[in-house]
Amino acid sequence: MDNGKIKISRLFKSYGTHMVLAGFSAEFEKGKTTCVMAPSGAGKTTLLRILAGLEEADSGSIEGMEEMKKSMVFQEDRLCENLSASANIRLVRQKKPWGRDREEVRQIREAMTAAGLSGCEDQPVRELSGGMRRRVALLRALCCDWDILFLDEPFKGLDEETKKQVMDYTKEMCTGKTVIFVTHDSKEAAQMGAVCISLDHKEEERQ
Amino acid sequence: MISTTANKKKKRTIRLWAVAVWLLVWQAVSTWIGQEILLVSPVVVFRRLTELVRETEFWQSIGFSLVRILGGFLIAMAAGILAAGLSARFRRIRELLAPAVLTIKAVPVASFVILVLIWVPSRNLSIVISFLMVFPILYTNVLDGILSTDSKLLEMVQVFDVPKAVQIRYVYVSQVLPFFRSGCSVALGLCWKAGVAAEVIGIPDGSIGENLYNAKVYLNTPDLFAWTVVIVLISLVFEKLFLAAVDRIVSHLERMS
Repeated sequence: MDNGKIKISRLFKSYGTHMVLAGFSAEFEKGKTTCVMAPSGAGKTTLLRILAGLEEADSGSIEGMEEMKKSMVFQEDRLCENLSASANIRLVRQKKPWGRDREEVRQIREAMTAAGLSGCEDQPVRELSGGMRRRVALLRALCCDWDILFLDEPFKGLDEETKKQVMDYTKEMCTGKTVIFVTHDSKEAAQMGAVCISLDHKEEERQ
Repeated sequence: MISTTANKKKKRTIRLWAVAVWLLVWQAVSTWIGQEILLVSPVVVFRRLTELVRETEFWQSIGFSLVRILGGFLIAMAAGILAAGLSARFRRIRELLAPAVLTIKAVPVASFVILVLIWVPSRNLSIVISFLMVFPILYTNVLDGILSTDSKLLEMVQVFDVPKAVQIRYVYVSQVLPFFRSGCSVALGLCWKAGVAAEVIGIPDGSIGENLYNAKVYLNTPDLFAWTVVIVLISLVFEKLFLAAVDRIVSHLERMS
């Protein structure tokens, strides 16, 4: 096995009679951002969920991801509504339920400023706009300790100006790290400087 | 969790004018009947209350019942939370407890009182009865809260490999607290009603229940009403204090950063 690659072989997944992944095979280079392109409903999210360990494939294998610490931006924000924006980011970094590290709080504040969220640190996320919530979800994924990051349509719902600011920040934070990014927007993939593969890269086509 | 406390407060506020109207109705009906033994007037009840509060035995009776009924409540609360946690984690425990909880809910309080009187001294009867009334409510509510925790949030903490203790504090506690709060609100009223009812049947010396029993035996209606007012007041005060404490915990969790 190549230690510098994540190798997916003949991944099959179906829900009832509906086959979502039909023998998907691909190699993702570690330390790079790879974009999986496909139209909506083609199984991009299912692929990410399998890689993130949230679902099991019906068959196939994934090699090279053992011991990698995972992080993810889901299609939905998945924030704890009652917690503040900074607490949501801190939640995934905490090892103990009580106490806080001043340095950690400072780092989170800096990251929030860079993402245009300055002044929202202590605001409950339920009071934030959709775009702000999206950025909190993105920062939560970027600011934790991770080896591999899954991005599932992470810039959806952001206006053009914010999207550019957030994409630049994300690209900077992901430099030299393993990122698997799914989208149907080729412009986003290009802006992220990602290597693109298509999810239509199915078993039948490989033969 | 979305806080709806303010809305609830608006809906549930008891207006002073409404209380005054009901007191006037009570006074009018009492005057119309004209027999204190059938329906004592609020003025007489108030006068009797002012006499009672000056007696040491009054406070001793309150202390006796308060300690036991609230003791039963607190034990049931701890047991309910623990059992709900275990039931949410282990399906077999949930299946095992389901018929027991259903039985406790269905059996009349009077049956329990008589049964428990065989097993424990009457002075501790209200602890057991209070426990039996509170446990199923808090167990069911807390379990419902845990089981209805947002599965998307649970997936999120799974991906990020958030330690269980952190998950409990930030994800589960905030999701379960509204269920726990409404359970406590119901259970607090019920534990006082059932606890005092048990004391009236078991007649432990120096309890509120004994005073109610004596009032009934001697047809002392002013005492009966005065003690009833005392029970309602204690129940309300404790409910308000306890729920205020729960709300403080919620706001502390929300202000955690």
